[in-house]
Amino acid sequence: MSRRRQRATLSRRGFLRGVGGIALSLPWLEQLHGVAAAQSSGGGPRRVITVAYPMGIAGGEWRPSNVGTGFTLPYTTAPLSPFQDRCLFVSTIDNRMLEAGGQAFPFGHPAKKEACLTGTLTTGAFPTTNTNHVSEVRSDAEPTGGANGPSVDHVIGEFYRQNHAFPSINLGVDGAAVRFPAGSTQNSDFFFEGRGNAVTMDVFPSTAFDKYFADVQVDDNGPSEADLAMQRLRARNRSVLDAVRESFTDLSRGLGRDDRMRLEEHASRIRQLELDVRISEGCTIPTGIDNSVTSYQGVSMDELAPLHNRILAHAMACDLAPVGRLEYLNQQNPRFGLAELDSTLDAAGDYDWHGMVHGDALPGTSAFLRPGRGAETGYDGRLLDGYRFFVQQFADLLSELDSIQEGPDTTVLDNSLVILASDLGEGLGHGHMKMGYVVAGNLGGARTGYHFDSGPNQPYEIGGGYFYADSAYNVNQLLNSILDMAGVTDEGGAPVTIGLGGYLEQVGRPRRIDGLFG
Amino acid sequence: MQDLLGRRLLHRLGLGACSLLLLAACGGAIGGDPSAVGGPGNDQTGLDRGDGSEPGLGNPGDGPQDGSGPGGVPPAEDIAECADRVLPDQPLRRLSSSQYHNTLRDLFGAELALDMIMGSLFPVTQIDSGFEGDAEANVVNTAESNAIEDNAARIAASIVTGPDPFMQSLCGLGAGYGEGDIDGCVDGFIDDFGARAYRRPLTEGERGIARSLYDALRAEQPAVEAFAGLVQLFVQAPALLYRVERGADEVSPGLLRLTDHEMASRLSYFFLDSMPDEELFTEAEAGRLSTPAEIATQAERLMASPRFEAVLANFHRDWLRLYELETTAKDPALYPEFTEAVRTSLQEEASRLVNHVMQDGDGSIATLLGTREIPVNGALATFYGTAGGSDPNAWGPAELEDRRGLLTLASFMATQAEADKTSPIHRGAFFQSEVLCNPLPNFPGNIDTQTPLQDTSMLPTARERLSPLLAEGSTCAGCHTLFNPTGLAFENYDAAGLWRDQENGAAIDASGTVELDGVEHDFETPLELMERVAESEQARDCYTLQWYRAALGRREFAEDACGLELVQQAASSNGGDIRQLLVALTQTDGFLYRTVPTEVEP
Repeated sequence: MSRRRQRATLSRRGFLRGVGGIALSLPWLEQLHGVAAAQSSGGGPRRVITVAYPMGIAGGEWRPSNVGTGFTLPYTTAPLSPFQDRCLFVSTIDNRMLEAGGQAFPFGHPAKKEACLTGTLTTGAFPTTNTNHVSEVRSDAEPTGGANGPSVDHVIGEFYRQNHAFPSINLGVDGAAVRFPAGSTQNSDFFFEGRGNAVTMDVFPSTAFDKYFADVQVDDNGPSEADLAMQRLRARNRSVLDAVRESFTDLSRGLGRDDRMRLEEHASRIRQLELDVRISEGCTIPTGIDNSVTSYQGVSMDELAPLHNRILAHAMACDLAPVGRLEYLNQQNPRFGLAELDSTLDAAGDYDWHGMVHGDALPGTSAFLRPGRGAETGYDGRLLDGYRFFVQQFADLLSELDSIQEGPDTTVLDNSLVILASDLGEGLGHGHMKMGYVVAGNLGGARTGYHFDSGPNQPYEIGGGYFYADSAYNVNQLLNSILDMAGVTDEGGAPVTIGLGGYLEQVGRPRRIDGLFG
Repeated sequence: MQDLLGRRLLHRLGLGACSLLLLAACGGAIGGDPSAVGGPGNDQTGLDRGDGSEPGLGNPGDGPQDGSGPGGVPPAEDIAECADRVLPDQPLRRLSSSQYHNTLRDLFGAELALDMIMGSLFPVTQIDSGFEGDAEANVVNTAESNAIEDNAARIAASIVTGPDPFMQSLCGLGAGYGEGDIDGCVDGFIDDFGARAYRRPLTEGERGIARSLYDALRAEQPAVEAFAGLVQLFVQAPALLYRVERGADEVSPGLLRLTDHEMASRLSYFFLDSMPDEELFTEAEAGRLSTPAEIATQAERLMASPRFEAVLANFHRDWLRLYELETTAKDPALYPEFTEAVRTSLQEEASRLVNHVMQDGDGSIATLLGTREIPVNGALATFYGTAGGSDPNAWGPAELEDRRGLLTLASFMATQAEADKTSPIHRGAFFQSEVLCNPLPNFPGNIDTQTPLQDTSMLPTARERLSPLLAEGSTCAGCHTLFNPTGLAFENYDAAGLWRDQENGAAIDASGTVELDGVEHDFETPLELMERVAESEQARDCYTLQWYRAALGRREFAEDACGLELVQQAASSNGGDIRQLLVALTQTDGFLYRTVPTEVEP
């Protein structure tokens, strides 16, 4: 690594810039583009960072000690104690939108991952052409195909986007014990740019570093021969893509609605090539990333996550994108770098993290590691360590963001809306009740240092009427609240609603959770 | 008889009472006269010129004198459900990754395309059910769209780097060509190469876009680079990537005949997995891809091509999800026989069997599903414990007493199992759903999958361990009564696919009952089960349905019922001959026509 200079600039090559392209199914997003109020000037966030991990929470060891302020955090969320006053904890919230239409969506991980940040069902729940409305949910649906709409981060990103180099920074942590994915990318299960359009996550820190920082250069001494050749190539690519776009338009003429929509959907994803890219004052290049590494086979999450945290924090500080995403991709059997937990996973045949969370007995025994299984009433320490790991990494990311100055009196964290989410509530079964979210950083005026309990304020209980009873608020309301924290509005200045259309009206719930705003 | 057929088909299609009403209202017909059954009949010239006649399965004169059409399809008028003619919407299909690469090979020639394919950035089509060519398997997301662009740019870069072979092949230019030569070639290249890339003559608009691009680039760049940009456009143009079908004349209210060029593409991508060959282009240009007889002739010709072997292999790979063998691993302590050489050989096993049945056998579904003559190479001969050499490349048939056809191959059994144990529930569910086409009930959701098996988890055999799922009054029994008997029937095949008589020291009881063709049959072993299945009408119909799905790139709907019934009857009357089945499939309305599109904008 030779890049040590504190200030960085962009080379003249600029960047390839992707387009979200979801306006077909969600026309209001078109209105968002270009609206992008400079939120930071008004005190609100200027970017959104979302961390998602699979397998839910250990609810009894996740929920702060009391509602409101002045709480203490239990074991799995305790790593956030240093940032407690800059976080909003939303507990015992339900995602019963998954039951819209009476489908089998309550079962299984994919649909739940897709729903927890989008507020809508999988595409298989809808006819090919749809407006993402609850009235269109099919009775013969298949729970596959990705979410039927964008995730909340993408909606915010479209609102914030100006001339960023990238629409988003997307990083994935795998950490498989044996088989690491052959490619350097994986499709996200949580993040979507539109209907069925999963975000692609960069899982190799080395390639992610190159991708996002290769054009951020220490010196800019004018165009070299290579730069000129690159400019010619870019000019050609731009002309060709213009012709491709024109070809899509030409071919679509006279076609029926369904064929036309499919072509338009593709056309909307063709890159726009931009030359003018701004760079943030606080931009520095992350250190300690070895971009010559070509394989991360056998590298556990505790080694991978800090690298991605660093890349993400610096990319945000460089304002390379208005959206940052970090996803823990391996729900089945990752290695944490925690000796006791990993040795249990290593030693027990096909027993895995997924099975441990769900309450499978240790192979050859009747030992369960969680309450709600057998006679167990408490969580095993190994299980809690696993859950705590994800929160610890999230806390470390907040530290990274807070360590980078962005303006005289503020850090990157002060200008960022940061979300931590998971797909399930209690990991026993595939419950989508009693889930937990953390929102940190700049919440646009919403409460911080606060625990908002969406359900009845009583001791956490697994099973029984409490566990399956409706909570007072659901995930769609929370996602709308997050849009409000981000200051997202349509062209007319009205609030924007995300998720399955007509659902909140059907269940008689208000658009957002007012209690989060004090 | 009609009632029985109707009930059977509805059952297979998984249509409930509501769908029954829908089917009664809109049952479709295949081929045949569009206006009425027993209409004017099909012309023998193969050309329909608007005289009211229309090619079709049900028309006298289309095929054999017994009244059946090509492929042995019975007259549509014999099928009550075919009184009306309707089709579901045919989704727009993008080329799969293998179709794209095969198209590049045929477009540029094998030599020039080699590097394009070997280093391709084109997004790989990934499926976990269905077929690679399905419309839904090839919807692009942003990353894939970017990859398509990057791949096109890579092809252009290879032209800029080494233009001579491209100029020779695409423009006919010899050594010493100049920029003016390239400029002079462009119009002809756009017309000729473009027509092959788009699989039809270019429109004026398309010609204009291509020429304008070249001119714009040429104003600032050398001719080679401008020409490379032109190629870069063609290889990612939507007309190449997508199989757009506008249709020609309306043959029946709501139904459009395909143009001859569109039919050429349907045939070529179904039978060759690639763009039309020269003969298909010639026939399309001459307007000779209009009648069922002409289409059947081409279908039979294309099936004689060596490339058809790959299509057969891909179909069976996707149907049985054998692509999972790429990542299948077995616990080496439990299954030391499952070596890397075995895994690699198993990836070829099914296609070898299919080719053996098609080339050396009678080409029937029954043989494919019931034969004990299984091709093996050296690695598999050792694996199966049969005689054979050690050469991994020398494949020959072996008589294996513990196998009965495709569904008892170790390749299939191993993918339908976990790393260290069998998976009878998954085997049973797959068998019912994909081999017998019995619809699976929806998973009820939010159920406890562990507690019911706690008390039996230490018992030696899977049958014993899973027995609580079938207990009277169990909420699990509703589904597992369907899955378990056929899943447990394959317990004689361990997780690696090898035969075993015992599990954990206890004898395996593989006996059970299976419902076939509406009749319950008892069996003692998986061999007996497969012998019954291989001869059953239900398995043959289901196999036919899978081909129908692959041909159209989508799942079936109620409106497909008539066409499916006709093809299934044709398969029955032809002794389950797979080639005849595929010819018959090309004669259905679903293959011949498309619906009139809705909400067309100018």
